[in-house]
Amino acid sequence: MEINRRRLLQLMAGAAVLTALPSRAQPAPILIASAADTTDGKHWLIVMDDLGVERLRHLLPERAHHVAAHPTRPWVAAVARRPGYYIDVVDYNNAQLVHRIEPQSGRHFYGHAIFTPDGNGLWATEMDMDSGEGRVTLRTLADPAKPLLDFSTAGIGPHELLLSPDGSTLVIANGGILTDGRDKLNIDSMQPSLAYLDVASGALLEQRFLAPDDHQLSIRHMDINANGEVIIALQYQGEATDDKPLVALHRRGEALLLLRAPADINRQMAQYCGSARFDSSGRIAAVSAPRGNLITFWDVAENRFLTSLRTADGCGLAATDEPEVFIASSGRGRCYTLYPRDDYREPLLLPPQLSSLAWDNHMALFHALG
Amino acid sequence: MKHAINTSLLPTLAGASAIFLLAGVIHINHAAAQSADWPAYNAETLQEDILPRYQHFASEASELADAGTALCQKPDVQSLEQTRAAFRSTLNAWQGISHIQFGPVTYLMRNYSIEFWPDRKSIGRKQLRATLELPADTAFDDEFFHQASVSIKGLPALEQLLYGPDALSRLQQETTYCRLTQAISGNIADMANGIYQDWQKNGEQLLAASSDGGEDETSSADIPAISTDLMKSLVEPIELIRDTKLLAVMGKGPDATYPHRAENWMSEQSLASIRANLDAAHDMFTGSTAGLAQLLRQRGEPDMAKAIEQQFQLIDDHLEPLGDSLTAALDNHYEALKSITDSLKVLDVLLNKAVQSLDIQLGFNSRDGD
Repeated sequence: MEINRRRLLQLMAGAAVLTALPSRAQPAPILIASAADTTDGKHWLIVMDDLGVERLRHLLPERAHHVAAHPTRPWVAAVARRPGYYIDVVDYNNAQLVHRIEPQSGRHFYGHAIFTPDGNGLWATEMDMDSGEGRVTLRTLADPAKPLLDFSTAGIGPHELLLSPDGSTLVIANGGILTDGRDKLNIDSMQPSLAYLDVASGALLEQRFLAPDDHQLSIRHMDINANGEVIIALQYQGEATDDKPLVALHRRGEALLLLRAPADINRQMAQYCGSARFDSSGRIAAVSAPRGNLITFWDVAENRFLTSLRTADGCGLAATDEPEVFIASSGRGRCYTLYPRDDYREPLLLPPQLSSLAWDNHMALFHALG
Repeated sequence: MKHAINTSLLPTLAGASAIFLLAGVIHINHAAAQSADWPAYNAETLQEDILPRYQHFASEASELADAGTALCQKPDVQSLEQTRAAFRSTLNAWQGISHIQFGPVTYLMRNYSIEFWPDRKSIGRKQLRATLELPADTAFDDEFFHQASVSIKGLPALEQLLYGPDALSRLQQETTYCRLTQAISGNIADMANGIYQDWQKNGEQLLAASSDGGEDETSSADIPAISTDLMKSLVEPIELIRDTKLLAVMGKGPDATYPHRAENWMSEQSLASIRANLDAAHDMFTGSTAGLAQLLRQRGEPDMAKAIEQQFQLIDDHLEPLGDSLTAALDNHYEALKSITDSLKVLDVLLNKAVQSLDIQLGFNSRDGD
């Protein structure tokens, strides 16, 4: 209960809430980073602490999607929403733009990028616009203009990407949808897949497809736990009235396993999941369904649905240090600590300039670096 | 409130929240939306907008069901015309309340069942053809509608039956055709009545419980989620009218239009439906004691209220002379339609600004996603 207890202690100290000055003597504060829109339509990268104190407000050229925290430096990266043409790496301690990375000619980003564990590189999913092929690139932060590595993702429309726990394998969600700008061109024939690539050679180690009947379940967002199990948030592109499972689980060497919520919950999820995150134990996964105003929870040890919590337009998710406890953000400016086992959520106290934001689809939670 | 921590610390949280709000006023000089009486706004919208409009829809649909029954007893030109007239009135009533996309209309997927549109793959037409080929003794009863595709449960299927080629001779010669026409009319009446009853029974409760799950007393964004839902119901349809109901049909120019993409093109009610949508939005904006216009004036924004009022009026003035049929207007008034889409864009921007000035974060629109 790291976040919560610390915050509550501060709350009990009364006025400390209002100032919340960081002190060198205290453990590193917990920071939350996310892209967000203000009501005037501008796009920002926001970093705040868990007390609602704003640390960074960086203006972005276009709407962003994923946000990644650097492992060793006080930097966060905001990745442009697809079709994306920038990745801003920003220092949250001095608000300086460290890098604005742009795709090479004929390419665009797909909304997600991750730092390498040593912090020297950045992997990003891209589209090659001539061939329509999905690509994944590695850039060094020392010289980010040109990719050092550039692999095929073995699919169309690569979206979120992960590294395996040992760092040897890239896991890519090939959404399967061929796009022109934001127009979808191949909904009838789309073939989403989950691909595992060797980080050094780009060799395709394993690729999993859904059954033919389920080919319109786009594989877009996911998370991986220490066992290498991948939880997947699906988005259904078929008819509005179909009733498909919306979550999948994958273990290396096995077929994709579709997980279904109870009938009424599955329908409420409105065919659309936005984000997936494991908790700190790696056993419980949260999957948000923002169009259905629901966040669902799954027990991967038992391959089953656990429970759900209502959250209007709630999409962004992050694990806290405490098992089974998550943070969620919403398009309506709210952030919550979620306690699914207790069927309880607690709003974070946010000042007006933060609670009037529309938090975008993904958030990152990490300890501040000096 | 099962969570032990919450129970023990609730008073602490409430106290901290009060300090926080006070601090917000002092430091940010920001009266926020506390001045708006949101419960009154919600209650008025229920009493003066939602309930009367659903009542009107239910009563028109009940007449439609009667007309459908009479039509099958004596299928002649006169009874067909009477049923078509009842269909248009029912459609018009539906278009006057279709902006509410939360609450009872979503139960049992009634929103999709009443009007499955847009139907990009012509599922309705295919389903209808297959249904008309069922054995002559097929019962079109509750059980049938329970199992049936949403595409043949409501207004679009009935429109095809009443306005399709050879409608009269088929009604006279094919018992299945006539019985299905009667049954769908009855089914629409049942759904309309069910929604009205549900709102009557549970409306107050729906307004009291926020769609966000409640328990938000500690959030600084002190606007009930249901108020945000209502504002969304006012603002969001404007973009839908412009993009889906007009621009998608207007194509790339007067020589490259798509008349069959229009809503209600068979009954030539496309523009009538748009007018009904806009009248509903206009009413919701004006309100009698607590509409958005009044909230803006209270907030010291009378010019904005006036500008929006004028924009509604301008669009209405330009739509009126074009008649009910979009197909006809595409041929004769393409430029006028183009200018109406521009005016709708202005209205959309103004409404979004208005909502912003009340510190309401509508979040991402319900079709947003990535």
